[in-house]
Amino acid sequence: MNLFRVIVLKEFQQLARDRTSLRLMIMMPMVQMMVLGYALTTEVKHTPVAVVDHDGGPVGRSLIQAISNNALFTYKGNVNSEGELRERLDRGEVKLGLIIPGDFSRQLELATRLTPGASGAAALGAGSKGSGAQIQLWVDGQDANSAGVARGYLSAVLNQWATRNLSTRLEAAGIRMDQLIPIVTDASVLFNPLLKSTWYMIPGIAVILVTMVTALLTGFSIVREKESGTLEQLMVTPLKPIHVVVGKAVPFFFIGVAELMIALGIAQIWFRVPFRGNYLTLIAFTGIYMLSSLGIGIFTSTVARTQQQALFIIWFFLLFFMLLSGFFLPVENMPHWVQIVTLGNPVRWFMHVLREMFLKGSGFPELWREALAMLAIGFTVFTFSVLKFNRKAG
Amino acid sequence: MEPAVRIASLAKDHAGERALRGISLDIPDPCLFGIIGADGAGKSTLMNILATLTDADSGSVRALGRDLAEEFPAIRKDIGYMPQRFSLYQDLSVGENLDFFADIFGISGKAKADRMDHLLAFAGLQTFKNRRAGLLSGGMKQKLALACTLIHHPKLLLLDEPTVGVDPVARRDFWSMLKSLRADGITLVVSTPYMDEASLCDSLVLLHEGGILAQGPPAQLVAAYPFDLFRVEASPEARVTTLNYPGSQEPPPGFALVYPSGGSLHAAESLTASRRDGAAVTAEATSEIPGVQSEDRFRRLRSAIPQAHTVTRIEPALEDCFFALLSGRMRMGPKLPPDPAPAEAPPGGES
Repeated sequence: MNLFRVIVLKEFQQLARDRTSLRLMIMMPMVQMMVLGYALTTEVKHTPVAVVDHDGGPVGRSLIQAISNNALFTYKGNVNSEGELRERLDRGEVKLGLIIPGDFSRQLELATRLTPGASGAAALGAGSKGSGAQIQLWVDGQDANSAGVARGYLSAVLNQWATRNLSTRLEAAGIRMDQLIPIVTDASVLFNPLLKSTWYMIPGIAVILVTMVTALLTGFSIVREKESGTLEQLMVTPLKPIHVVVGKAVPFFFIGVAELMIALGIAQIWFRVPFRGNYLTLIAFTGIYMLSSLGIGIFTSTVARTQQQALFIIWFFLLFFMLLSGFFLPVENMPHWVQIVTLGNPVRWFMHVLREMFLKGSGFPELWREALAMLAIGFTVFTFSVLKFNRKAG
Repeated sequence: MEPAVRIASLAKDHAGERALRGISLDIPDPCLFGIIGADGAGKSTLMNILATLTDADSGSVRALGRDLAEEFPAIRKDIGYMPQRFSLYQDLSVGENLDFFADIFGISGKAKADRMDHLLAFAGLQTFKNRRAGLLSGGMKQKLALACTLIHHPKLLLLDEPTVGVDPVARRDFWSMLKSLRADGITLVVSTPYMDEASLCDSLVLLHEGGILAQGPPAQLVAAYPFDLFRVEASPEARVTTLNYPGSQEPPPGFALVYPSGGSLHAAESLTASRRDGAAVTAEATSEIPGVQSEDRFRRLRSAIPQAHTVTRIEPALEDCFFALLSGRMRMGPKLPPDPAPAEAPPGGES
């Protein structure tokens, strides 16, 4: 019998015995997809806002109304003073604070009267020295990204409100606002029309899953044989390292594909993320990618002597690979030199491939560069690992 | 005829220590060859080199007519290696383990079925064919491991401390299996820390600190024992039934060695007469007391060991040789006669 087949069969035999691991392999992608699919969203929603309204007039109330009606914010009520607002920010109860000055209504009226027809009658934002009504905005900037997004949203809401306010006032003066603003944007969003972040994140989670399962299980499986001494026993036979390594990688290749299929099923059926690509192309890409993820597992097994060490080493790699993959943060935002480093990161490429395949339905004609990059990385990692896995028992 | 294994000035460093310091050794074919020595003497290092798992730093090994370093892939087809730890798949059954190793060695079809049946019978595991290896007793695990190493009809079998942690009955069974393999013409190299097992070997080598301290058939080693040996026991009525003699304490005058063995002490008295002229042996006399009287010996022993009650003259066993050799008080000559004359029976016991 072919020596590769001998190892593969034995590996499957052992897998079939290991009910716990099998259950984990099926449950893990399900649980992770279900939980992370909801949890990992880049959307900034329900930002808690508190308001200090020194004006107290109907104009201020209408502004507060505009904020509390918007699902992007959770209106946490009014507070009496800046000091109190600061306290609530300190306690983390609110992320945004809005301070409406005492003369807000008067200023607004003044501004409209002085410069009729000027857009953005109410100058918004802290530090704005322009003539017009001023509103102060306090932002909890700990999470810089969300803070920026929330501030942008609030500014947009305020702008909208101001425009509407202005338009009513102008109308009272007999000027029709829509005649004054000639540019109307008609944006059409491609691939993800509702701009749902789940559509973007779910394929990413699938990539992480496949990477983790294949790298960890391969690494563990070889190191376990080292720990139990069976690897030593195998080395004193006509088996060559390539037989052991490839024979062990093959079952985990199938497991990796199965994991991806489970993830794909959940993405489509539960989260309703469209998969617009071709399934065979997907499997082909997965195969190319797994050269790298299996390779990491094999490489680890040449260094680690215990499964604990293997876990450490694989995590070390995976953490870098995940964070520098564009999973959470776009690679384009990273410093230039980091972007160059990420070219060697297989997860980055597969992440891109899977997202493109899901939402755009891309195939090899569009993604051949990614395929080549993954092939180059995978081939290097795999060959290096196999060579390092020498006859002296790993 | 070329020996099964010829080791020439083999040296190996392990973890910065000299694990083997240029040893040379011939293992005849066929032979049940024992490697004995304390922990750290170099037994496992030598085994690993023979099993082609480690390269030596210098020196050479020829096994089964091939150079070990050059032709290890070919040699692996003809050797069986059983590591110290149980190294089979615990989650596979007895049958599946055998099957797996048969597949690796390319044994298939009827040949495989026959071989498996034969080995299961040989190891007495027929009724356990479907039991998971992990659920076998320690002794049965070792028998299964032996069966797996035999699947491809190896000509040379290497067993690294195969019976450590195995109960005495299973150990005896295991050794009778080794004996029968030897009878079939296989060369077996066994390392063992047990002297009773070592005495079952055709020939032995005693390793110490990476060098060879002695080698030869067990009987020859015993025959070369240069001392008169006594067993010193405590009184059966005494509260202390186990005698101890601190290693730091000098032996009584006229005695070369005193060491515990079982519950009693063994005391080796330096011989003054060159009793064993034939063997290449030198006994290091600690004191020259010509014409000692037996009472004299006892008096000296008793004064050194207050609890001593009975002193019996006994025949040395392999273990006594081992202690004597390790102490440096017994030395084997550089060259042993190829076929030693049967050891002259020492005078009978006295008490």
